[in-house]
Amino acid sequence: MDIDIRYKPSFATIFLTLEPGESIIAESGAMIAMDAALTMKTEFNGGFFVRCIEKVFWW
Amino acid sequence: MSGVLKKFFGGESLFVNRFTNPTRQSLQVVLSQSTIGDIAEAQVYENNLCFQPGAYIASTPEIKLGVRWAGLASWFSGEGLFKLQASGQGTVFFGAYGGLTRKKINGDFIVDTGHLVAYESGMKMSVKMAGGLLGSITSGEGFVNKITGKGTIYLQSRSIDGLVQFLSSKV
Repeated sequence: MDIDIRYKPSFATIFLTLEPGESIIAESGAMIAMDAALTMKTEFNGGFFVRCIEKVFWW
Repeated sequence: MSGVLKKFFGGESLFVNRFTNPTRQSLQVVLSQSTIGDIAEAQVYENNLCFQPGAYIASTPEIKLGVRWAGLASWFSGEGLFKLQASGQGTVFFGAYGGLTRKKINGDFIVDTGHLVAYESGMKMSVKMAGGLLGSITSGEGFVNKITGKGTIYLQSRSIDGLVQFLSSKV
């Protein structure tokens, strides 16, 4: 994976080059451009609700 | 509704996107944040990294993200009731409003509320007044955040709350 953070510091933007098979997880809405051949899959933010609800009701 | 959830639960969206390269050539993806400011990358190994609401941008797939109870001290210091914690091994990208400073701490360090972007999970936070009761009001600092421990923290040179306060005094 090649990482290039450009336009630092004010308008910093991450330019990532993904090698075959590599992947990256990003906050929803963070993507501003990508090569069309990349696949994008939306996932649940790991154990999010379960943990929160646990925290709220056990506290 | 989602805004409320976001505010309480670590400032992150419920969903993340996984970008994968299924082809045989290298491909590019461009990621950014909504505020004006710097972006940094940090390596996570055994040191878990905790983030201020909204700071997280992206991470490599080996990183596990979780929301943890941050405590009332964190809430008072404007960092949210919950914190986002990155664990595992890999790289995390996060952003700030303004410039980002990486600082190694050994002992006590004081940060104004809202300026702490990320910190290693071993560190303790406590909220205190900047001076005496009157001094805290007149100094314009109000509450400050005292960080205790040994580790790395990331600071932002501006805070959104500060901007909001500045702008609301103009309208």
